[in-house]
Amino acid sequence: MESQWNDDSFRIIDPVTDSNCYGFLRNEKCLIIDPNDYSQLKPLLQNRNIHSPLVLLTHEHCDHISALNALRKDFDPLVVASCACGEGMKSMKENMSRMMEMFLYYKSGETRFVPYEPFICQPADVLFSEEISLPFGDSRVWMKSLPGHTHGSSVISWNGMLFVGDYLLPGEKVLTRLPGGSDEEYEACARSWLQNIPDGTWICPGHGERFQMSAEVRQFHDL
Amino acid sequence: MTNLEKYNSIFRRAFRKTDEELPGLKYQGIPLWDSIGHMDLMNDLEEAFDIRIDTQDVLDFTSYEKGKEVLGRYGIAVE
Repeated sequence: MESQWNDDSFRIIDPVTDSNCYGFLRNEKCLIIDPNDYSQLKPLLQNRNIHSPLVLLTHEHCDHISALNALRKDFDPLVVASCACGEGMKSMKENMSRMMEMFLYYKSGETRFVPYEPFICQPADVLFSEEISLPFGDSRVWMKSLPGHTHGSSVISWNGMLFVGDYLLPGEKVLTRLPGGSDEEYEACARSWLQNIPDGTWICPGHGERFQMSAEVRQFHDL
Repeated sequence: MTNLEKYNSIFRRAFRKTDEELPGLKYQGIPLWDSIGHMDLMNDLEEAFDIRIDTQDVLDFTSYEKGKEVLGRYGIAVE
């Protein structure tokens, strides 16, 4: 699979886990959300001669951070995540990489085995507890901690788009039983916030195609 | 705490059962012991007994009783 720049943005779909990585280029600076498949990401960054990209993480699960160790080795990124995400990344259990092989097996309907090597990552360089606003391009990117799917889950807002990680996945109800997940936290924190996303907002999910917020989306996700 | 007490305590917490309800419990025999519940159980057992359970053994772990046999392969006697 080969990913390409589309003007100054890209999306990488991880062939193993189907997770999305998003990238944007502004004024020779690069923003990367959820670095996943390094074999696709590396040539894209080399192609535009990118150094020190800004890397934001929606949560700590391995399918959203799997390129991070290699990225750190080669491109000196600045990594930003919630404090809880930073903690979870350090554990094979919490980042789910320990059981990912089994998860993928079950997800395939117990038909397909894909080897998945467990790993850990060092925590993010910049950690925040509630929210953070950072300059990127001519505007600012905003992150807000929104625990539920995992303790470290966040949403990221930039340029009219909302990156929601594993909330609001097309055709899939939110999972709160995976490592780090909590139904109580989802009910207390995430649900009402997601409920209030204005209609028409472009949602960029952690898996699947982007879509606009609507009454139908709210209904499907019981919001 | 004995290995059996540890084993039972993990099962009780994972599946909200009493000690008396554990014998005969099977994978996919109750809603909480689905694939996600199974991965949680494996994680908790690995942590509690400080072992790494092979993928094949994760699949072989199909019941409360079978699980004791699987742990035996790692030198953990649950009795």
